[in-house]
Amino acid sequence: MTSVKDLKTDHKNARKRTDRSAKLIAESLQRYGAARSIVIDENNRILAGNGTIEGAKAAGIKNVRVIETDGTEVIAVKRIGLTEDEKVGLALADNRTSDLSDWDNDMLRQLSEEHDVAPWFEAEDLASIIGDAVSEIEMPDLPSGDREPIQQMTFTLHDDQAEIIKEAIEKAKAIGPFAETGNENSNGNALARVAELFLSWGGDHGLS
Amino acid sequence: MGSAKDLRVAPIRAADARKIVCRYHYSGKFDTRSKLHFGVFLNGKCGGAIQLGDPIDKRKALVAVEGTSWNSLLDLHRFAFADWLPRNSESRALGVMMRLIKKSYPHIEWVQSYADATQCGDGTIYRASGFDLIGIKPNNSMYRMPDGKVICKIVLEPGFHPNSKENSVKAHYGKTGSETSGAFLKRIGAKPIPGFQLRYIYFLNPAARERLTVPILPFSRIAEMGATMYRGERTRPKQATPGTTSEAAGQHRPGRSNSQPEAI
Repeated sequence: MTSVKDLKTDHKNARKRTDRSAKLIAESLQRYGAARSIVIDENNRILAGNGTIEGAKAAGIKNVRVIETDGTEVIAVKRIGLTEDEKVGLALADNRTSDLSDWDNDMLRQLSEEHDVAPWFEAEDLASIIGDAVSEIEMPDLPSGDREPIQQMTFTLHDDQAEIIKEAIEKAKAIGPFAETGNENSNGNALARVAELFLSWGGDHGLS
Repeated sequence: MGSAKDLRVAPIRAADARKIVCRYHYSGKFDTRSKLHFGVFLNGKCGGAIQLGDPIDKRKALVAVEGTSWNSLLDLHRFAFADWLPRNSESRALGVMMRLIKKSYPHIEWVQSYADATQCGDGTIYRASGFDLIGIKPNNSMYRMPDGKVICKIVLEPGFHPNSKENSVKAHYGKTGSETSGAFLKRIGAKPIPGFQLRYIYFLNPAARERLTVPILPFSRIAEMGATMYRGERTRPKQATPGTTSEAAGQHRPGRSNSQPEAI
């Protein structure tokens, strides 16, 4: 027999009792006595049933019967001496107190970062419980006024045409520095120079 | 749990917004053009995101309101909400967000958004949030690819490189060279998705409404044109009091993400 005092609360317990669930666990233990088994490890760390032990302490239950197992068999607690009403009450209390407990969001987040919590928690499950780790920021600056007189244009070219354009751009650059075009993009300036030259030839080639 | 009135809307980083949009938006995709991102928080938990930025074709968009300067409009690209957020979170969050924009960016005169009634909805949330309807037109841009994914034709157009090369839709489906997007889609057996696109506008500057160059359409026009859709399903119009929206009339819950046509 082990004393409940010898059991250690799980430092990684992601479940926390609400005031109501803690009260009802103690109430259930007082009404129906102990029934649900808990799980501890070799060092008496409570892996499942932290709330039950808290409730047991509150209900004045002092001893824990420990059954060692390697997980190859199911341990059933054969609770005797209950009336039908008490059996129903105990079963409902067992489920209801679990419902009324809550997640410790910070711990759950920490566990999800440090351990693989799937399939018990998929990403969406976690998001619905702890939310996404999102920080608020200041309102960013947005441009006002009219647009900058700069734009991008995109064309589709055959490889041969692309080579011609590249060559024309290089030759246009070689002519000399660009005047104040308001554009710092040298390729853009060169292409505009090519176009200006082409247009300046318009009259001679019957273009308007 | 809390109600929609308990929501907090605040600016967040793009990366955070993208993560949330990918999780909750019906398209599963974010828009790389977005430049303003809001998170929607309930009790400290972020369960939604709203993204805004420039329209795809800003020159065409801004003529809807005469005298709109280049930086005086925003396009609502995405909003996506988790199911655990309370009822009416969308309209509440949009309302709060509009007030934030108005306060922080007084030069923004209006916000527009498109509803994709080919695969999502006809804009129930916009109507419940004070947007005006200014356009309904057949949407010929959505295609179902041979692998079942849905894309907007624009992502195949020249110059549209919203993602990295490795992730781009063009690279994914093998579109190269000068073949037009239409010819490419036909060749690979992509099927157009029939439906409508609805354009909504929200005026942050009430005076800008007077400069609207297109008529405001009655919401009843949506049903008249057979453009009704709710959560991806064609819906038959219900009997509603004129001037009320279906959400305002309490007929059904709005969707959890907006119906902006996906651009990426």
